[in-house]
Amino acid sequence: MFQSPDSGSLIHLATRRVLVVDDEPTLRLGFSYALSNKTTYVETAATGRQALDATAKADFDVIILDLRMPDIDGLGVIKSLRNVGIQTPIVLCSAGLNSSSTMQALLNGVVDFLHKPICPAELRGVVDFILTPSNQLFPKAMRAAREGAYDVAIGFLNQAASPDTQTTAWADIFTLLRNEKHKGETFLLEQHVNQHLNLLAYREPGGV
Amino acid sequence: MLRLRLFYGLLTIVVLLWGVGGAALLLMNDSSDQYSARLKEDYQIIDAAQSCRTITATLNSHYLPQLATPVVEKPLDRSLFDKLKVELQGNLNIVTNSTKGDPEWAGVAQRFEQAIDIYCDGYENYFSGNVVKLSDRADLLRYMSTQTQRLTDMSDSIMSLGEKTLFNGAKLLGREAGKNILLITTLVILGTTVAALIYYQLVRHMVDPVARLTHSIEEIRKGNFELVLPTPGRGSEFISVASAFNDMAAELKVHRMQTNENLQRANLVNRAILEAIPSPVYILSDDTKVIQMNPAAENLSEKVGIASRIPLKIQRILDDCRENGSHFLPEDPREALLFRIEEKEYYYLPRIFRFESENHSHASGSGWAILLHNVSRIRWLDDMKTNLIATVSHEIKTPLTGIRMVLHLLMEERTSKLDEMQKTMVSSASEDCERLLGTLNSLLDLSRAESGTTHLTRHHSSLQDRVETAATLYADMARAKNVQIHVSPELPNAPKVYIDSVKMDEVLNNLVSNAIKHSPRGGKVSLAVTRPEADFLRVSVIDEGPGVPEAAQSRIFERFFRASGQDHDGVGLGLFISREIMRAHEGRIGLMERSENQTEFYIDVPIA
Repeated sequence: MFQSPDSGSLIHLATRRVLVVDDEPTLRLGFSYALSNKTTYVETAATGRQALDATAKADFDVIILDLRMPDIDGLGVIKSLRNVGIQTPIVLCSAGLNSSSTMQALLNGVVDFLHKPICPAELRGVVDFILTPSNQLFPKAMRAAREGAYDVAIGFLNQAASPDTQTTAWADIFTLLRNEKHKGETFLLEQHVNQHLNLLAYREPGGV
Repeated sequence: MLRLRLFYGLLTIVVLLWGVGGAALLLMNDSSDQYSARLKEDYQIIDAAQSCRTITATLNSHYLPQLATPVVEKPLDRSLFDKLKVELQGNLNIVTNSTKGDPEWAGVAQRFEQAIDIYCDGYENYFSGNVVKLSDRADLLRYMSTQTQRLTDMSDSIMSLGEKTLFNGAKLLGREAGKNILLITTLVILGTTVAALIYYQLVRHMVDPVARLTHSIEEIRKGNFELVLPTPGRGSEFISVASAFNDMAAELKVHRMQTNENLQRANLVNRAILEAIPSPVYILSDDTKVIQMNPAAENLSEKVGIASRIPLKIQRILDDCRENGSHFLPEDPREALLFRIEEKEYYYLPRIFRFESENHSHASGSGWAILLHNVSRIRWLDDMKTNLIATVSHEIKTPLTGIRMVLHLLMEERTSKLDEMQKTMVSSASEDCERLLGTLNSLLDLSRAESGTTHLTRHHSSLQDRVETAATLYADMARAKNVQIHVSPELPNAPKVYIDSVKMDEVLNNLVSNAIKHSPRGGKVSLAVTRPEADFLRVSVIDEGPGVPEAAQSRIFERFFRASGQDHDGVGLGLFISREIMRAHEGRIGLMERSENQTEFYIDVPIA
């Protein structure tokens, strides 16, 4: 369904397919221009409904999804996709990410977040981070998490020699998500998400 | 006047006393005289009778023995007889004279005289010398003894009569004494009557007015000013007292009426004011019993379903106030209490204050007043404003992110190069875009702070952890400015605090970023958790910057305030939002007085 990062051949790279879902036309335009290149194909959708239509017609490697949309909002799109078994990595990109929407996304296997406003570099960065992760522990952990392997992800994160706040925050959240499968307690998760909301969004390496 | 009456009354008693005493003395004297006279008189008779018997015995013993012997030729000596006869005659006279016209006595005296005459005749016969014959002499002797016996009997009867008279006299005297006793008794009764009269008069003129006065004072004390003391008769010492008292009562009455009128007016005014106030007002006594409430308060209590009591939420605040002896006068509508009335939400800002009369001894002169200011509309408008700001900011922010994206792409010059002029324009537009985004973010923060601070998600957390998180978060920013962040080691046994960590982080981040912003290059920012008092922990954020200008110090926590001459970004909401968050935590935020070129901001977080 999505590209294996290790099998990074040119042909595969040339067939990167990204879906940008946002109701803001200029943003769609900007995202398209920012991501489009010889190896990346970008398709756009203005509403949740269009996004679901697009994903039904074709497969995508990454979906950049806005949260607030007129018909079906970002969370609705996520749930619909997961319901039909589409596990495409999704980047939830919003200006108004709060703890409850973040938690809903996390519970549906979405672990990548972008906090608007963003610059082109961040956008490209997050797509690369997902599709061609480096061999470092954190990107590997996040990749495992995207596949639902929280234990693997926690294992990677715990290997970190000097864990930063982001690493520990994610480790805690993955632990809670893993436990969440067995128990139905979202309380601790929400509390934790609430505490570390600022740390969860993707950050360009070197940026503050 | 009273003095004169008293004098006359007592004079009468004294005169009576003298009279009774004198009369008693006189009567005693008189009866004793009478008694001795009577005794003397009656005793004379008895004495005379007794003497008669003695004389006859003497005569008989002298002469009669000779009769028993034959005639002795010798002249008979009659000298003794003559002498004793005179005595006998004298005694007879005494008896006769003592008859006092009493017929019984007269008869007795007459018979006594006859007996003496007959007795004397016998002796005359004897002395005549005719009795020579022995038989004659015997006859005479017999005769004499008979007469003597008769005389003796007579004497006895006179004596007994005399005794009887004496007894009668005593009885008479007794009767006389009885009369005297009656007289004295009458006088004593008279005296007693006069004394009673005087007592009555005294009571009437002296005790009664005093008693009436006392009673009247008592009545006035009870508030009955209608009572008037009757004016006593002319010349009474009580006239002045009574009139003074009546004047006083009248003045008191007037005064009371005025006071009553004033009170009534004040009461009416108060009630009118209370009724005119649309906010519920409760007036409570010291023990928080409701004394008075205005129609709005009655209405509220009724609708909340607690007739004539104050709502429980307010009772709690009131109890706190009573405990601390403080007023509760919040200004911020966000401190209002929510009441659900008929499925609608109403916000009332309670204002509780204690009132006390200047006269502290007066127990009823103090209590509590509670005014519930209905701030529902203000809250609603405030919420509307917050929502409006949030909505508008979002609506602006969304296209702005697109614009920003496009501007960034242009500046990347990936597809085509820009000339200098285009570059300048695009970067200027980008800067404006960034500024606008900053403002929008602040506005969103503000609305979030205003709508969100009332809904804290609190947990028990370590304040030291929060401080260290903030320090870590800003380590890069500090490094960029060559500022060193120093966190003091954790306080031993520091208790956990009950906080919303995210909100608390916001406050700490704000303070730390401010401190770094205002630090000189190469300066130091110190963070420390201390416990200056038992019930809260304090986080101090100290920098070595130029400090807050004095004129600005009182306003730095106001929204949109920025100290003049500040060249840093921001719209002046950071400290305001921090204050709101601290307020929601029932804590404090403040600026210490500047010392040793250090600026210290602190937050006090209550210990759970």
